[in-house]
Amino acid sequence: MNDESDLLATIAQGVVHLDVAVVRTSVESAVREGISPFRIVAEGLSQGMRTVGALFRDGELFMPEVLVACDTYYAGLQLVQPLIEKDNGRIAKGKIVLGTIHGDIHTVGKDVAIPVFRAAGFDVVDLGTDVADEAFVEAVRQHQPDIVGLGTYMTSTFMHTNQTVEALERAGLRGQVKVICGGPAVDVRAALKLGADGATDNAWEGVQIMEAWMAEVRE
Amino acid sequence: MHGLLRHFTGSGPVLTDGAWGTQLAARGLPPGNCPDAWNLSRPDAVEEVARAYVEAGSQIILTNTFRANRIALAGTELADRCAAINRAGVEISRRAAGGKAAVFASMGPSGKLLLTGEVTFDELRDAFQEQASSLAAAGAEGLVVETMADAREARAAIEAARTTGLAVIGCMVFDSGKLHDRTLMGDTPEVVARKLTEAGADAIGANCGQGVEQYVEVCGRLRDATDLPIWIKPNAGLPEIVDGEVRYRTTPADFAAAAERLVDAGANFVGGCCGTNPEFVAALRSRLHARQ
Ligand code: B12
Ligand SMILES: [Zn+2]
Repeated sequence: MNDESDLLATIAQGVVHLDVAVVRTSVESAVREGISPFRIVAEGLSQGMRTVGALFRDGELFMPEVLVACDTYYAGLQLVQPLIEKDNGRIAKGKIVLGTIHGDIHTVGKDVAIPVFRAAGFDVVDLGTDVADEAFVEAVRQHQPDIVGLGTYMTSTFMHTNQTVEALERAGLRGQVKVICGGPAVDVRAALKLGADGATDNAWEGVQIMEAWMAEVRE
Repeated sequence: MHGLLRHFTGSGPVLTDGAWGTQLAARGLPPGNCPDAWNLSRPDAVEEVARAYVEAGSQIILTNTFRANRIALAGTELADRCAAINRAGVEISRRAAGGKAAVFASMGPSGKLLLTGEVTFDELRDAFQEQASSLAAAGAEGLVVETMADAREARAAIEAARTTGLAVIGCMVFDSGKLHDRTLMGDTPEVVARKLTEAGADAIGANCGQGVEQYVEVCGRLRDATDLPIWIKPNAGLPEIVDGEVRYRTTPADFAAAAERLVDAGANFVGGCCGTNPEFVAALRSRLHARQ
C-alpha cells in the first residue's frame, strides 16, 4: 500500500518538476504494479497539476512552466489513456458537455480540467473554445449530458452565463441538465443569479460538486 | 527619440485616454461580442466614446481596433473585414479628435500562444504587418502595441509597426509573480525594457491587469531601465461582481491622485485601461494641470 502511494507521489512530483522521464517511468511502474488507471490519473498526475496550479496562482510559477507541466501531465496521461478506454466495464459517473463560453478564448484551464473530470469517472464531450450558445444547445440535444460545463475565464464572459442558460431554457432543455461555471473569475452567488447551479475556480472542487449532483440524481 | 513623441513629452506629462470596451458595453455592446465590429455597424456609438475622451482632455486618443488582426478574428464573421475595421477605426477617432487630439491606433494581442505552437512568430508578424499598414494608410499618427503578455509577440507587432515609420509604443501587462511585477511569461520590468527596446519601440510601458497603485513601482523600474519615454495605462482596480454587475472600485478622484505618483515615478504618457472612463481622464487632467 505504501509503495503505491509512494509511486503516485513520485508521479505527482514528476509533473511539478516538469520531468517527463520521471513521469513516464513512474506511470509505467504504477501500471505494472496494477494500480488502476483512474488512481494513476486522479492521485498521481492530477495531483501534480493541482500543485502546479496553486504555485501559479501564488506567483511562484509562470505560464511557460505551467504549459510544460501540462505537456508532462499529458505525456503521462497518454500511457494510461488506452487502459482507461479498454475499461469497458466501468460505469461512468455522469456525462458532461463542456466548452468555453461565447467570447472567451482561454484554453489552458479547460485542458487541465477535462482530464481531471475524466479521471474522476465522468464522460466529457469537449466542445472547444468560444462556443456559441446555440452550439451548447445543439450539443445537449445530441449528447444528452447530465451536466453542462461552461469555461468562463473573465468577468465579462462569466456574465454571459445567463444567455447560455436562457438559450437552453428556450430550447426546453434546461430542466434536464445541471450547469456549472469554471474559471478564475467566477463567484458562486453571482453564478446562481445568472441561472447556473454552481461555480468553482478549481477543477477538484468541481468534481465534488458534480459528484454530489449525480448522487442526488441517483436517489 | 521619435520626433512626434519629443514634441509631446517636451511640455510635461501627456494625457491619453481610458477604456473603450467598457464604454461600448455601456452603450449596448453585448458581453462577449467583439467591440471592433462596431466600427462598421455602430460607428456613431464608437465616435461618441472617442469624442467623450477628447472633451475630457485626452491629448492622444486611441482607436477601437484592439482585436482587428487576422489571427484574433479568425473563425468569426469578421475574419475577412480586418482592413475595413482598421480603416474605419482610425477614421472614427480622427473625426472625433477634430485636430484637438492626436490619434494613435491600438494593436492588441492575437489571443494565441507562441509557446504552445498555436501560432508562429512569422504568422504573427504577417498579421500585425497587415494591421499596421491599414492603420497607417488611414492616417494614424502613432501605433500602440498594447496589453501584450508575451514579449515575443510584442516584438512581432513592434517590428511590423515600425515598418510604417510611425511612432511605436510597446506595452506589456504586469500581473504575475508574487509581487505582480512580472509578465505572464515571468519577465521583469528590466527584461521587458531591454526586449522592447531591442524590438525597436519608440516608447515602452505597461497597461491593464492591475490598478494604478500597483503600477507605480513597475513604472519606476522601467524608468531606471530605459531612456525611452514611458507610457502607462492602469485599470481602475480589478473587476468585482457586486449585485450581479461588474464593478471597478477605484473612483476617478482616487485614480487621479494615485496617477500623480506614476508621473513622479517617471511616466511620460498617462491614461487608463479597463474600468476607466472619461471622468477618469477629466480627473487626471485637473490633477496634472494643478501641478503645472
Ligand atoms: C493565460 C492567460 C491568457 C492567455 C490565454 C492563452 C490560452 N490559449 O489559454 C492570453 C494571453 C491569450 C489571454 C488573453 C486575455 N486575457 Co487572460 N489570462 C490568462 C491567465 C494569466 C492564466 C489563465 C490560465 O491558463 N490559468 C491556469 C488554469 C489551469 O487555471 P484556470 O483557468 O483557473 O482553470 C482551473 C479552474 O478554473 C478549473 N476550470 C477551468 N475550466 C473549468 C470549467 C469547468 C466547467 C469547471 C467546473 C472548472 C474549470 O480547472 C482549472 C484547474 O483547477 C489569467 C490569470 C490567472 N491567473 O488565471 C488571465 C485572465 C483570465 N485573463 C484576463 C483577461 C482580461 C484577458 C484579455 C481580455 C486581455 C486583453 N485585454 O487582451 C484577453 C482575452 C481574450 C479572450 N477574448 O478570451 C483576466 C480576466 C479578468 C477578469 N476578471 O475579467 C485574467 C484573470 C487576468 C487578470 N487578472 O486580469 N489570457
Ligand atoms: Zn485593460
